[in-house]
Amino acid sequence: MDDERYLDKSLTAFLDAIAARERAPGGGSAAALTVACAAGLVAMVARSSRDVWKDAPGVAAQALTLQDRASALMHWDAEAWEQALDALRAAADPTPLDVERNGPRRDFALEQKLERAAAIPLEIAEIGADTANLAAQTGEHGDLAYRADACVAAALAAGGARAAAHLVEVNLGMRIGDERLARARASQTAAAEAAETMHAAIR
Amino acid sequence: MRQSGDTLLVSRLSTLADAELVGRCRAGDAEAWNELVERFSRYVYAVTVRGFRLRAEDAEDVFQEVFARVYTHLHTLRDDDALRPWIGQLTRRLCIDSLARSGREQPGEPEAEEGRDRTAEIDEAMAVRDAMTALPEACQEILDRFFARDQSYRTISSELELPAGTIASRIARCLGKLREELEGRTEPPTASSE
Amino acid sequence: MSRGVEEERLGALLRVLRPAPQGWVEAAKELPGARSALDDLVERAESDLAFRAAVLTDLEVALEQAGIEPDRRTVSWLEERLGRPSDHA
Repeated sequence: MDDERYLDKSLTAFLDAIAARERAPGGGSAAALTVACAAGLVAMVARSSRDVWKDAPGVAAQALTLQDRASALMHWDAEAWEQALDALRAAADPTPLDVERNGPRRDFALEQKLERAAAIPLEIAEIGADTANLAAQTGEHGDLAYRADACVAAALAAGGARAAAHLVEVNLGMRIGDERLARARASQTAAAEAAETMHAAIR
Repeated sequence: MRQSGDTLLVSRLSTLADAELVGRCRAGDAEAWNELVERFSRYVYAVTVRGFRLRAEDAEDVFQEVFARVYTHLHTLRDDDALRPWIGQLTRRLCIDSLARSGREQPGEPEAEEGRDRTAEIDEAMAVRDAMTALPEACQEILDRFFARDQSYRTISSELELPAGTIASRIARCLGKLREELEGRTEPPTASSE
Repeated sequence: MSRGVEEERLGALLRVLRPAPQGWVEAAKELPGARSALDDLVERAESDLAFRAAVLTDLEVALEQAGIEPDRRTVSWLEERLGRPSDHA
């Protein structure tokens, strides 16, 4: 992974990087970007609804904050994932000296890296849920001319939340009953429900 | 949850003006010192990591050094009302020294200048935070949790025991109250001069 | 400035002042107690030459024995107070 942060790349360069054979940027970064786009759409609809909805300015401020948080996680997710992969490879094929010297300390360090790699997609999932929630409110109260954009925002946010929750659940072998697993699933469900409510209302 | 006596004490200290707080610290009031640290910890932290973009280890060193010097030299402060600009100036100076020691910068060069520019935004943020203290406590809490502490609507709902579907609108309305509070003040929020 | 932009600007400014790491805040709050113990240590070292020599032989041990966390900053401060050039950055 090169040193240039993803947010500093052109969109073309980032899309090329997603498609390249390297593991990073991968699914987590794509999920974060999706949620960031959704939050941006919510901000747009809220900004366009100032004349009809008194909460619109405050909702726009919240959407921009969610966008800021999600976009920052694009890079961190890739870094955390690469560190976890490196640690997993080293754990799978340790040198004799490594085992002799580090033993339990190595296991602890691996556990910490896996924890961090799980924490970031969990945060992406939770931001996705909040963005979907905000999109639903924007669709309900905002300018009707922009309702379709609010629906798209809800759908994207739900997709990003679902993708991130999947990463928490599957890629890192989360333990049954782990509280973070429950949180990830709750975020996925909340985001899906918000999106479905919006789409059902216009059918 | 804190006991009611502790909560009342903390609440009283948090309403003290900076000058009063300085007086109590000089008198050896440990709780007053704790309040001083709490009151300025975000400011010092922001100047180190956001203003001057110090590495984490260097930022921690500067953070601790700032409060160590404040503690040691509080008796030399001539104008107790000037506590904040004094702490700000001290923090900026120590950040520049840290950049120089790490070999990243010589004083006066662009990185130090950019740090000073970014601290103007931090001073503006402090003015907003001051205005926030005039809002109902529920508003202060919800705004801080969402914007400064990155808490989700679900977490805010659970910890403040509020319906989840109302969090976003509550935040929006509290933000509106904050804007009105700032508009009502005689002077707009400005960066403090050095 | 339009109303909407004001709320957005306020949201951005509220994000500027984030909580410092709790460990940093707690350590700063403990300064008065830690400083008092350090001052006692220095005072004793200044009045008792044998004790001073023992302290300078191993600063970390001396701090630990005084119940003070021998972190890099504290060791450096003690070296400075006792008039020995610091090896620490």
